[in-house]
Amino acid sequence: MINQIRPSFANGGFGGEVSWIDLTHPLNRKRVTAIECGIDRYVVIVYHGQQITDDQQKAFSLNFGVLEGTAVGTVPGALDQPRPGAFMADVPNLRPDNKPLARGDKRHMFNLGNRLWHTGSSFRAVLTKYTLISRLIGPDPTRRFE
Amino acid sequence: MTMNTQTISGVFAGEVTGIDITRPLPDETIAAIEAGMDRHAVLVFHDQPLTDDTQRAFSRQFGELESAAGGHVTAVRDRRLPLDMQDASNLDQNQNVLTRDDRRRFFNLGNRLWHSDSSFRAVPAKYSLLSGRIVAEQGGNTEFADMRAAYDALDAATKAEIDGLVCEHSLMFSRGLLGFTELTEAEIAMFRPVCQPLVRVHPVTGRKSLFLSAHGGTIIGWPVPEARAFLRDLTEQATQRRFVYSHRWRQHDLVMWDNRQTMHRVTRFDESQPRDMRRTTIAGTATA
Repeated sequence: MINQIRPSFANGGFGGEVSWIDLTHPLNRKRVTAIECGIDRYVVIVYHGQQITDDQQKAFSLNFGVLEGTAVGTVPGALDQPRPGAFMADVPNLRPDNKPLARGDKRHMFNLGNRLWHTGSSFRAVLTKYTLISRLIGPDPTRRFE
Repeated sequence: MTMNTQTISGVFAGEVTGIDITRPLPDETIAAIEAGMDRHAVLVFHDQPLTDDTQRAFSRQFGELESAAGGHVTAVRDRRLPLDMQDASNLDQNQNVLTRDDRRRFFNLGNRLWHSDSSFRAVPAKYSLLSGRIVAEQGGNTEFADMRAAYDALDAATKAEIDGLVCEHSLMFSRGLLGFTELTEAEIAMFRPVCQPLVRVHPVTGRKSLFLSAHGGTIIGWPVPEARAFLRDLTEQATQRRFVYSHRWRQHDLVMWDNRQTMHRVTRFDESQPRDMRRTTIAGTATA
């Protein structure tokens, strides 16, 4: 398993890619441990080609610990009509009806904070361990996530 | 003695040798320095023991000196230097180091942010000339970022998007970034924002460059958080190490830069020790 995690960048040991794994199915303990070892080594791991539902993403995530709630940490009112469930942090630019947020929308303004360098939930007393982000729809792939 | 300008290895800045700028210079030498400025945007002159008078005299050969009035929270009566010498030191009028909680020091901390001199004025600066009278033993570098190269490196979509955008610049924005927001009514009136284009064209070379500065806080017609996120993105891209020259000061260095093609900042240094840097500034022309 660990042999299937390879550095994704030519310039050193930061960032890895997993070449063969299906995250939509349950993983045995041995594989979970191998992924944890991979994260310890590469810090960031990319899994390409994973068509994953919210439930499958939750199930995969639970292999690594308890999910953090999202009730605090969004702009007030944003969760009146949550899009995904309370354990899925919503990082897109969409409203509850899946239409793009208007340019002047308060939730959009709040999300602009993600353009600043940060570590997930450093504003909480209890910090996060891992973050797992799944890209369903996105713009031009040359727009990067750093 | 023959003047020679050489590119500093690996960066865009140039170093000028074979010249004594403490004495009057013939027109052709001044023209050669201006040509070097157009090309390098930053020129370094080592071993030039300038006084205020000789620095003024050298500077005036490139244009009118800009007045420091309206650019600081230090009252004119409390200034250490005359208005035509910008005080980039950490000293008060009695030559004492400013204390940690002095609001003039808080204001000066804005120089640690990437900026272009006087972008907060309707007429921003052309050249700045900074003379190292007492330099920091460690740190206190002045770093320069090449805004021409930064513009050239943008993708076509971004170049098209920023073409024609206008920003508002104010000392309130740059100091606000540091949480220094306690200003008097008079200071707020003095620091009223001015408009500057986001892309400038150099009047001599015709090259385009990004006109970014920590003083820039809004883009006309944009929601403020979106404008600030975008300006920060652009600033981060424009100040990658490949665009930067970091000048390590020696006493009696004079560094001269073109604010129309660069941003700069000072790096952290030991503020318990005196650092006496004096700047003359050549007024530019209105951008609007």
